[in-house]
Amino acid sequence: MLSRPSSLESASVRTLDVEAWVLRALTMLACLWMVCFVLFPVAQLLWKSFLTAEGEFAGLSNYLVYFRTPALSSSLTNSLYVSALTTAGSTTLGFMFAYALTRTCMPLKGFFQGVVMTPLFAPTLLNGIALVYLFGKKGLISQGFFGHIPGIPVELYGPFGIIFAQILYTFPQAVLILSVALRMTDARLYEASESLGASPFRTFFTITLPGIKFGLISTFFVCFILAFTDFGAPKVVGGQYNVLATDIYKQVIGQQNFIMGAVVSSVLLVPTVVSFVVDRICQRRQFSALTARSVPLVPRPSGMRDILALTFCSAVALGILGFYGTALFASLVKVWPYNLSLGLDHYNFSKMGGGGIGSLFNSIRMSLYSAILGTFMTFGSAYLIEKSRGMRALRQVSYMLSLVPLALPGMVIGLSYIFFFNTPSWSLLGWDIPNPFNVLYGTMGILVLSNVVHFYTVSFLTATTALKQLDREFETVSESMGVPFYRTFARVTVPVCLPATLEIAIYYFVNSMATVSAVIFLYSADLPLASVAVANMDDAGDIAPAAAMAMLIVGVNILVRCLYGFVNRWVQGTTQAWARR
Amino acid sequence: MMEPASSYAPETYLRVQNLSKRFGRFKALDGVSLTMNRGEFLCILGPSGCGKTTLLRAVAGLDRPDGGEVFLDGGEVSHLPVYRRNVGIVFQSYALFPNLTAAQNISYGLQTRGYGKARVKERVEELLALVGLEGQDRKFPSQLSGGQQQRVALARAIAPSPAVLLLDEPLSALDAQVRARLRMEVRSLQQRLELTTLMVTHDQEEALAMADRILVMDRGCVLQTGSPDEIYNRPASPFVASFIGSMNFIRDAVKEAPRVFRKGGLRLVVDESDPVPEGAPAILAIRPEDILICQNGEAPRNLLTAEVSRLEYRGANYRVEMNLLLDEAETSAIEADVTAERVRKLRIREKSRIHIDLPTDRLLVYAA
Repeated sequence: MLSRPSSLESASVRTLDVEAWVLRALTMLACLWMVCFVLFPVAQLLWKSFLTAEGEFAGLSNYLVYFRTPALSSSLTNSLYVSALTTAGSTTLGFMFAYALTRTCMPLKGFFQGVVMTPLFAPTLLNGIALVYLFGKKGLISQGFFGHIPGIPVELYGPFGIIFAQILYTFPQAVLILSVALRMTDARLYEASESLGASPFRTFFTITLPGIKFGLISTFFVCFILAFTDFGAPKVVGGQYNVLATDIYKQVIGQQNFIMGAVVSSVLLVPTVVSFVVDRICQRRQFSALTARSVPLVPRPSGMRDILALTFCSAVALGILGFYGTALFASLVKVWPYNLSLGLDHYNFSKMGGGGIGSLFNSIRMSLYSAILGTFMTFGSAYLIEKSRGMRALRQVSYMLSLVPLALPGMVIGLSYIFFFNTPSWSLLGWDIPNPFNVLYGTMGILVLSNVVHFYTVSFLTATTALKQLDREFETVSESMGVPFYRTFARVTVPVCLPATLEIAIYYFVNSMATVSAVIFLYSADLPLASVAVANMDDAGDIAPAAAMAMLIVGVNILVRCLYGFVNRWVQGTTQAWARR
Repeated sequence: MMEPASSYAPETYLRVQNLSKRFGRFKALDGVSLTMNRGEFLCILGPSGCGKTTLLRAVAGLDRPDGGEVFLDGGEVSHLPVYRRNVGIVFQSYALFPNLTAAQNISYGLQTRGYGKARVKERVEELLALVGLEGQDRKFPSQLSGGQQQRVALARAIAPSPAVLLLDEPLSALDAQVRARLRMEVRSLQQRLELTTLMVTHDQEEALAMADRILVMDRGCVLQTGSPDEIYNRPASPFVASFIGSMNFIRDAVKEAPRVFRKGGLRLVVDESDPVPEGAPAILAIRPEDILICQNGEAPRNLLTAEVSRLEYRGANYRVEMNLLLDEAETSAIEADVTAERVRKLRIREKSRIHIDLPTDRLLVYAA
């Protein structure tokens, strides 16, 4: 064939199309953002664990010190022990609850579903505080309801308290995952089993359990990660029983030993990352198990089973309500347990350390910013990764990076952000590269960023799922008609995905309000936060005001959640009219 | 019938030359060329995975081929992105925007082309009338039936007056009855607007019913191009013959003399000359509906005896499965479509021994 340089030349000019390049640049930015605020800080943290305090390379000597100091290394076994028991308890209870919700005809399902989600609105510190009021020295149960009945003395501080608080904390997650798994089944399997004359017992072991295999494994690992990395519960009821998350805090805040903090963080990171990887593999299989042609299973009434389910769920729901009710009661009581008259004394934070009521407003502000920036970033990146064409490799890398934050404990994010944002400049091969993010240190910016990253993955996956439900050809159709991508994004993609974006925003808000672990390293004295105030007041022994502040956090979250309900209903009614037939 | 008055003389409007595309080691397109006249309806027909959608996407500019050129209206467009090629596309899934009304969907591509508000409204109304959806302009896609959605997708694609309309299996998501009706509607719309149209389908009936010309593809290659009549009655190869409609093959025949073939005790005469050398093996082929059942006394040139093995009732006719008696021991299976009326009249039943004729002008010959 003859070569035709003229056509080649004009071709390269023609393909230089502004829009395509804007998309490319944005996709690269989305990748760069994950590298900058996830990969790089964590890498720096890991690197620090191999350095001396003076910044010399120390090899594994920090780790040797760690494992040779029983006071430190015992935390690892402690953490594994409480997490394993929490996981076992939470998965068992969660399975029973989810089974009752999805496979029986008991009444009040909506109510139970709502109650079981309550712990998601609370800082885990509150679980600890409520336990103190129930099982502490002057606790409701240990003293037998203020001496009315014989008390049951319990050794609260230590593994018992931590496990109890963490089961409560991980329970909603277990119920959520297992409900999805139990719902994703094909009714025809059960019909086949029944028609073949299998007993309910046999059906349970040959169809029900294998069907939710991956959901169960996933629950195991999610609960494990949550318990393993939880800071709130052991902070309040851990007592002398050290776990990794509190160790990091003690090393960094108590002893200003940042290097050992980095070492403990790395130790914390290993099981977490392993669990995370296994969980991802399982989830991928779970979703491929169900085809579009499956028939959903509708439970049939069964007297005995439904009564059992109702009894169990009522007991759990009452337990949860009583649990937080006790904390609410305690925050309103004048002097527990001596003067039980009610009042709002503990809600007057002016005499307390920790920033007072202003900290609550700071928290609300931070959560609002986190919700806005987080929704923007997660939805934007998910769109670029899911819907743009070309640069496959880069988009795949971005996708993988977007999953990483789920494997990062809040303490690790917090500590790595201290290192990352506090560094004035990096020296590389003799060059000094000034850190452009240094100015964020100690500001609202770093708090918001840490939240955006901390809760990134779940939101990102929500956005991805929503986007995947859109026809692949929307972008192609627009392109063929010469409509720029941003126009289709604004007119079709965002409106159709509005419910998902609202869900992401509320997820960000609620979690940012309740979180302690990342922000406790990053807040500055002139920008106190409510959840941190809870930790600090509890530290100072002011348990009642701590309970009061935690209650305010729960209150704000429930309020915002209700607001979300209304907004969502309005959105469904107006902008989603097309979805109704 | 009157020919629609055309202002254009037939001329090559779209030309595709030597397109090739690989996905890893898989050759999706292997040097495909085609031409289309202005206003022509060309159907690309082939089994799934034959490369037909890849070809359509390459013509549209959605995917870049590895080699080859595309010319449209005299100019090369090989390197132009999709929106500079002025093509309208209808996808299998329609890809209608769910949150926009029918009218908003149709006007989607108009607004960016500098149409004024009044003109957009006018054009949308014109198109709604054209596809028979007057008064449905404010409905969302989910409120429309599958056939109506399809029409909205079609209206949206032709709204900006594209040079070429590309249809990617546009009717395959519909149920049989709606599909048959829309087939005619799309075709008459295409003829009225004189739209140069390229359609991809795996449904041979659809291709025969709608197209001016059909291009049969398999494994990334063009096997045959021709009018529906040519494709059906003069398939270029046994593959094309068997892919479109049903076809009986009489294999292992040997050419005895010009236009005379032998298999076992059978001697078959054909009308048309063929390139098979004498003494060489050949494959003879005939469509089931071309086989004739003979009554006593008739003596056509290819009179054969067969035993009916099975009758399959199909309403208007029967599919008669039978075994040709080649000689004492050997038989060969063959199928004929016979009207129900004739089956009743001749009292054909299973195990009946009947005489059939393979008309000399309907027998096809392929080199083995």
